[in-house]
Amino acid sequence: MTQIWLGLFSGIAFGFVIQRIGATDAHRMARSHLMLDADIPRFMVLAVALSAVGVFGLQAVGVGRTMPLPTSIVATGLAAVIFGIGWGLTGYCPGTTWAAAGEGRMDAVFALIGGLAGAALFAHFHETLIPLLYDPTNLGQITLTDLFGNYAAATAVLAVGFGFCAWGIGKLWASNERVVAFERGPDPGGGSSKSSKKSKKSGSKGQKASHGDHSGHDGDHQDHHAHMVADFRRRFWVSLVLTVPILALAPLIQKTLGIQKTMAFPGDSYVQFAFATAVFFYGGRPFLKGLFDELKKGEPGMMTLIGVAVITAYVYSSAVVFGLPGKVFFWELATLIVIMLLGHWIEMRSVMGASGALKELVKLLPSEAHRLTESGDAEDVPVSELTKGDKVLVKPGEKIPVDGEIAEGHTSVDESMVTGESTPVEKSEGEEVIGGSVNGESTITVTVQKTGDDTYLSQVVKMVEEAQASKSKAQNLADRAAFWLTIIAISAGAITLAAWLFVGREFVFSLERMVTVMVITCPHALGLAVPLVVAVSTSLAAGQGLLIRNRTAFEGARSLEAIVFDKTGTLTEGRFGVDSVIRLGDESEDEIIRLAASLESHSEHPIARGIVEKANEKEIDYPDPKDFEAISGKGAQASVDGKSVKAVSPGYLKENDISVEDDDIRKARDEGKTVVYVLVDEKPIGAVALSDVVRKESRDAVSRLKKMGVQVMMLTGDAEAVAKSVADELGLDDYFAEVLPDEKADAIKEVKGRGLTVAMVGDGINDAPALAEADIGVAIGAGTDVAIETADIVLVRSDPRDVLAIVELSRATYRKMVQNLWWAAGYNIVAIPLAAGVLYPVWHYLLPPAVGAVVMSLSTVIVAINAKLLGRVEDDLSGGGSSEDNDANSEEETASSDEERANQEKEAA
Amino acid sequence: MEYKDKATIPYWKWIPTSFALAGIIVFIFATYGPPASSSGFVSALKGFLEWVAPEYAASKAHYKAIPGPGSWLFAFVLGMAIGGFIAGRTSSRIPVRDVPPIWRKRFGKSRVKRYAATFFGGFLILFASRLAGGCTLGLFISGSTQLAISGLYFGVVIFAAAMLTARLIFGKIAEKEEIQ
Repeated sequence: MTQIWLGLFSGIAFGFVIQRIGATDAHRMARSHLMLDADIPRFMVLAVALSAVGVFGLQAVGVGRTMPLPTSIVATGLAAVIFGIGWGLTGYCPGTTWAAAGEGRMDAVFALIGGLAGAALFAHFHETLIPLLYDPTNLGQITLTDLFGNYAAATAVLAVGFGFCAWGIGKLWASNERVVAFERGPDPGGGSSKSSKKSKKSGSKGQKASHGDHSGHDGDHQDHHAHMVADFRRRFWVSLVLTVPILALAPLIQKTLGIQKTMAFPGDSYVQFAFATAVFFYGGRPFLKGLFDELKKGEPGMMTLIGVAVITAYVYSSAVVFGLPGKVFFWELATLIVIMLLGHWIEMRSVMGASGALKELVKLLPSEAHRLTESGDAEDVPVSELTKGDKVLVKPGEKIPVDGEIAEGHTSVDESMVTGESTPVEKSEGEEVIGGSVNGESTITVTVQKTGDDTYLSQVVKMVEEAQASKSKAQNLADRAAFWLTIIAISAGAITLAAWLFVGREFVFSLERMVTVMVITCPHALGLAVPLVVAVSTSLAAGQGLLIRNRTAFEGARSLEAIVFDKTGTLTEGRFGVDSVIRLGDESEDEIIRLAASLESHSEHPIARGIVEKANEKEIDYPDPKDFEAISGKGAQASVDGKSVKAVSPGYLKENDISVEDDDIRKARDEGKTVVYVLVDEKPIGAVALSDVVRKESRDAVSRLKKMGVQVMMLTGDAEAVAKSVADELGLDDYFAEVLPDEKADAIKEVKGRGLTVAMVGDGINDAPALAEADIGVAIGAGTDVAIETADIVLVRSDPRDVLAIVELSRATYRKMVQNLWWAAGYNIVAIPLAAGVLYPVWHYLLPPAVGAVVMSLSTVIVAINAKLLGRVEDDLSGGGSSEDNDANSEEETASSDEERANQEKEAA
Repeated sequence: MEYKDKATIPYWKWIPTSFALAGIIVFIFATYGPPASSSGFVSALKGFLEWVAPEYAASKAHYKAIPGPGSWLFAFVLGMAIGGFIAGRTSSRIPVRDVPPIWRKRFGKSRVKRYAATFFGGFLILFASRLAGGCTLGLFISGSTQLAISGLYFGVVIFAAAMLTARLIFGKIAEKEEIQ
């Protein structure tokens, strides 16, 4: 009777719990089977692991009983397949059928009835089926204890194995889900814990699809890349899980942890072999494939090094397991593969991350716009329906839907997502606005200029995607290191073998030494040395507003010897500012400006704007002019305060035989300044000298670049005099004046001809050929599309100091890579002779594997920390963008062996 | 299922729940022995047959081997149904439906179709369970808990077969539509 009550109680508890986890929900079960929901399989597996431990405890205190499971290997296999089909179809298994039927699910009731029928059929034919159930292998009686010889060890293996299995299922199911999500359409309703990530992703895609034009960015390349990342991630996690038992069974690890007695059992090397085989073929696959690809191309690199090491370790260890005397290298093999997979995963993800961030930007674009109809009413239309020339209304606080020009209104625009500059920019009629930036305090009307793929943001995204395809020189650096290490590995291995055989040691000993050397030559840390630095530098660069299109060029920036700036819009602001006012009569300077500003306030000419700005700056009130009229190509005239006022060029004076003799004017003209004469009633009363305003940041940028040992030059189409004055003002090393647009590339060639590595910084369409010609092309600001297309690096802000940041970041990155490669390979260089047994003949010293393992782990940790330290140059870089007061900091932090840096420090001191 | 994120998922979290289930399983091992649920079907069947066709029931070896309704086994499966009932009544958030949404998307609203399928599926599952001498609980969970190789073997194969079947049946739907 007690048994019935116990059974009832147990059943109720069991049924309750499985209902709560959702196992009675056939829908959730189907999702589990489809790898969309990891919870139930994980739950089952972990429950088994825990139960096994619990039952072990029960057995230890002599409570409860176990029961043999009489069945045959054939019958179980066949039954399992049939069972699985039924399970996959219905989503119910016998236990959940009862609970689900109790819950009131009608389909479960039918499954229950069907189940009774199935059981009845089996019972009916039981006798006939008995031969099938006969089990010559006695499978039902074999347990893990029989295999491991020890109940405790077997329980531990099962519990640990299942525990990791539960964890691994979460990883596998989740990643699969994300891959599926990638291929799926919009997600209207959100999802479960895992699918909430998915819903974000697919939701964004859905939104993009509504943009229509943006969806083109999800090209094959991106998908392929995403799959590669997912693939490496999956391989990494699976290999990591498989490595745990290998480590647990490795004699060295056991000895170190003092668990040799509890963990070791007869035949454990076969278990190690099984797990190592899985890691070798599954985790090592990319490297084995890479090895063959590299050998086919005749370019042995990283993959070859790893491939040679893992193949040697695996083949030799396997031979040892099956009888060859020696020691196994399974744990070295497994950890090597796991760390290499991690490195590759990180590197790919960091490159993906850069464009991922940009994709987020595209996502930020609103999907609807208020288009103004001809009658002046606003109608809401999808952004994809906008065409060039449409007028759209942007209300305060709204995002600007597309690139365009303000047709009406004045506002401040928050362009931080585009330029990284947090202060809003004042914009008024005629000025350009970028889609995705946020409108400030007032309503504006924008004339659409670019839509879809032509918008700034779409261009930027496309560009970065292209950059992903360009093979990084960083990789080449690692490949070069790997190439030499491969040569060292093979030759050191061969020499070791030969040397030991030569001195008369037996073949087995010599072989073991050879394998040790070859395995040790492949540094674990090498896999992380470069990827981690790339990851950190990419995110640093993006955070600083440096968009790297071509990593090779970026990494070449460290050895720049000359930088050529395009003058207008780069070193200068590309707008006229008043330098001086020259009196020619009795009128004061303010009066001259007042009259000129009044007249020019009706003109759109850059010179006119400069004069009006000067008046505003000096807070001079000027009246509204009457009868304004432009004098074609020579100036303008109007009536101010009843007087006839003219602002004209020297050409006008010549034509009208008005002569002005003034030293100040001559001097200004010699300096290349633009002089405007102010005439009242045809009589010159004064002159205004204007010039292109030099950016404040330019001075700082130039002086700091020069301190770094980089020659700074300027290229301009302006007259010699103008160029000279700017060059003198900024202290440039050289300049090229009166260069026609098509000659700019020639100027770069000339600089290259001097044997200098040269970068060109420009923003205009006319700079594009020069950008392409230069070793490194840098497009500045939200420059023209053509310039951006041609450039290797794009600076988001129009700040020449960011060029400095490129050089500094590039140098810091390279330095970190080299340091890391040394840290990674250094230990191996020392270890190779020791492993080869150089000290053996004298002191009988062979490198103890434990020491090797510790030092190897240490070098991996150092490499990781060192890469992270690259983040510390961030302060230095922000110094490039904001102020000079970071100088002290920056020099302290990034100073190193570079001579230039040393010089810089001296000068700073 | 009207949940949107983790916070509102109506199901229990998997880690604590697996501790709870393991506790129950260990309790069952301590008080009875390895639990099984497919045997409960036979137990119920035996009770029924002993009532309607006692001679037939007595003639079959399989019924002789399994205890009838007055046993722990039958009480256990009955308890599972009661447990499911209580859990269903005390949770308004876990939806109870006769036709799962994923099935509806694939095969339409027809209840008859679904019931026929679950009848057939149930038939397969129980026949197979008897053939293997256990089910998810009786062989995979109980067996693996006792470290039996057959339990691990059965578990791996049923998962693989179920995943393959589900993929063949629902795979296309799951790729095309949001299935939650």
